[in-house]
Amino acid sequence: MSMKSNDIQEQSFQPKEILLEGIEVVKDEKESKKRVRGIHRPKTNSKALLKSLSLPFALFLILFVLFPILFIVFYAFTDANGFFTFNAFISFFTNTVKLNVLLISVLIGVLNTVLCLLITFPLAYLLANPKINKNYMLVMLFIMPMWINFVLRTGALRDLLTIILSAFGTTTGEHPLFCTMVGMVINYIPFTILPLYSTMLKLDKSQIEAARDLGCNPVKTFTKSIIPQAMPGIVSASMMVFMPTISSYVISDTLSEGKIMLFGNSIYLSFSQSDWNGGSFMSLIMLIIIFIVMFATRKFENAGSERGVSAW
Amino acid sequence: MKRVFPFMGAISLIAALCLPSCQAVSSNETDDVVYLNVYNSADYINEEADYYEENPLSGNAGLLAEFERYCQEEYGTTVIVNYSTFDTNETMLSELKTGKASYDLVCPSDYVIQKMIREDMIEPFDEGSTPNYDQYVSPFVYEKMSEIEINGEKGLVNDYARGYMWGTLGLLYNNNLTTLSTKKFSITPEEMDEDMTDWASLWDDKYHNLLSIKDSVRDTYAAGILYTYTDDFQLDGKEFEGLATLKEKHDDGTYDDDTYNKKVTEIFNMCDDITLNRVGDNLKKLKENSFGFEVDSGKTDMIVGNKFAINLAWSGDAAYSMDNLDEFIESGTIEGEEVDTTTTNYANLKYVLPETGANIWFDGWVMPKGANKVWASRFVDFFSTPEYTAENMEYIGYTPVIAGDAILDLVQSWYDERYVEEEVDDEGNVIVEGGMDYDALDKDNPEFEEEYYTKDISYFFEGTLEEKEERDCEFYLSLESQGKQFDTQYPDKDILPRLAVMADFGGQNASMLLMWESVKNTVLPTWFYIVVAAGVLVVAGFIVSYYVRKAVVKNRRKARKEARKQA
Repeated sequence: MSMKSNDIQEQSFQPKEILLEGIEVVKDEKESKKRVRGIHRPKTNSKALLKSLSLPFALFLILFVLFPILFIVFYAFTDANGFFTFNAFISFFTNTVKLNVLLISVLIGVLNTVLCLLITFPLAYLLANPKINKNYMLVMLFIMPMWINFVLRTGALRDLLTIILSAFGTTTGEHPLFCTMVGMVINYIPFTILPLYSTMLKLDKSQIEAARDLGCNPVKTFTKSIIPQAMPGIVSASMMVFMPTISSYVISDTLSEGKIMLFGNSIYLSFSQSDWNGGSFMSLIMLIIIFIVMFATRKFENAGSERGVSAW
Repeated sequence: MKRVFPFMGAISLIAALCLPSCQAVSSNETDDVVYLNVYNSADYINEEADYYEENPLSGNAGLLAEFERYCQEEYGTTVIVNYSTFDTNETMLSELKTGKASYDLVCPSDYVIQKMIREDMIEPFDEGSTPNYDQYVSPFVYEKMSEIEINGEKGLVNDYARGYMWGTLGLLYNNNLTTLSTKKFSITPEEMDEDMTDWASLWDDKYHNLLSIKDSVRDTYAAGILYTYTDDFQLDGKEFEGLATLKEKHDDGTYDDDTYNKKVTEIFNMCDDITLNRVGDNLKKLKENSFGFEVDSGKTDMIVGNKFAINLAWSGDAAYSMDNLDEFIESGTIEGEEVDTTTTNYANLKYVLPETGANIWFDGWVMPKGANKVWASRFVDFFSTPEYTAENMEYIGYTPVIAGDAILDLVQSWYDERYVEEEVDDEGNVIVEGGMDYDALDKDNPEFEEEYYTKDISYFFEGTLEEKEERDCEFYLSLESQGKQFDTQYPDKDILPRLAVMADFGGQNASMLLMWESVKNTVLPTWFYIVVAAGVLVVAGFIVSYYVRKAVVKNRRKARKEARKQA
């Protein structure tokens, strides 16, 4: 009993503190802005200065983002001699093999996203609980694999899987999908754990508490309070996993022993056989999918940035 | 202004890309310094400082440095070799085509040379510009090169290219299946030795999941077509004799070597749509039966031998695997611990060219348009000297097209049982002189055949040896070395008629790529597609209904507001 009452006390105190902190921060910001604007800098100069400061970044964007995209578009709608044509467009949408590769990539992308979320969601919830995880070290441990080159990691995983599967009397070549999914999940877990962890840190405990008090069973509390609150994190985590999975190349190639071809492999094949136009068109399709996904999740992203969570 | 800038930039960049690049000729001769741009596959030339020290002027070591020194000495010219490497022929080709760089010498494979000649991208060599090459090139390889047809004309390849290395595509296999991580296979080594002489074994259920094929269209297609046309077949209403029939007729003497080779080459180079379909179907079955695809990892996986036992391999890679395995086994004994064969289980690698036919390939030097022909030819000629070629061969592991005494010496020292290693005592005095001891073994001795066999490779060295009459090219080899490095590097004379060069696919390239993609593609069961389609429809329905409802609510609100206003 005493434990329980302690819990309640702790949790009921927290929201007030958070609220107070929030207000203070906001006040501070407002004041500092006033100071900067009002006293230290003349208005006209600062604007010009700020604009000139953004120039390097604008240049960077133009050179490394805009130009490559323009090249992709240019190649996607020209033939080998540089004349305008819809050939790549037509040959992509009439080729069932390529469409099938795209479908399989999307399915594997969805599967990978779901698996990563299923594994990391409870993990992030636990890690964000100060009683279980006292410092940041545990989170770092989960992110640490990202510091090792992932081609090396994938190669090592291939040998590890060979050893593990041999215990069951089978090899990696016999289970290409299983091995690919293991590799994918292991490689993308660090990408999901960070955004989820940072939303979990900001979960409004009082709301969860209220839900419980008002008669929600644990399942309902989870679906009606925790998930909606964690939605921005879930969305940004999914974005970090879904798109890279579709275009990933090394993992599927190494772990499925070349038996599963993803969209990235298909694009690579086109370029390596000097079919630049077909390859560019497929890259364009990738870009379009990225834009669609970004457009569809725009709402959550905005909500996320309000809460201080972005796609890090 | 802000809006115009990126737009203008894009246009100028695209224009720069489309216009023929007006690069300055990079191999200019200024102040008697010649810059020679050489473009080669990775790990394909001796660059080790162990052989020749680094040239401080160019930063090159090994034979490249030696070439630079040789030029200084022989011609009094300072030559600096800009040596760079490429991964695949295709990347090299597209780089040359887009004019990103200009080279004086490039070393592509046979089919790319063919393509380059057809597309008029390269310069022919001047006659007599490579005297060493002309003298020492193996007559066998020279003839193979001259057989390639370009636009109906034979012999063009030898005008435009100078051979560098050659080899075959066959099966590298490990007949000790106990090294596998899954111990469920019980195929005896002898059984496997026999099976591997037939391409059909790759499709056999017995070797399910035991073989790895190349993740490259041309090489796997080679295996596919050799299997597909084993038996007699029809094509466009015409009857063709299959490879098995051809072999029988060659064995019983109906076809001589030339006719047989011509017929095998003809079948090997079929790539019409019907053939593509047939081979594609067979390759799909092969994919089902195989462990997986690889291009690079296979040669190391074979050394350990725990993943798969059969690998479609190039002869150079096969020799590399065997050499490394030998080193691996030897190093086990050197480090104090004797290898206990009962506990330590090593793979037993062998290389075989199946009986119905196999692929022979070569890489050669070509000069792209605008190259510095004089110095490029001198470079090629320098690397065609048997002495330097021997050093090159020692380092790379592939078989050079150059023959000659120095090469024969080297190969004998590696493989012949009669070769005696040089022995030196601590003070550097030679106790036993190294070299061939021709009387060490007597092949007329009845016991000889129990342990040894002989193999003649004079086909390769014909006419290039100085002591033509005295020197024979018969090797005395132990029976254990059958199918090992020597057989890998120099195939038996009676295998030669069934080796075919694979030409460029030409106009069929695109169809070939489509076939390959459909082989690599994973086809799911039909019900799965139906489920996916239903799922997509449901989700789409939800989204649409959500927006429709939203719009309806909005309209109602609007109507209410207006009604209130009116009221």
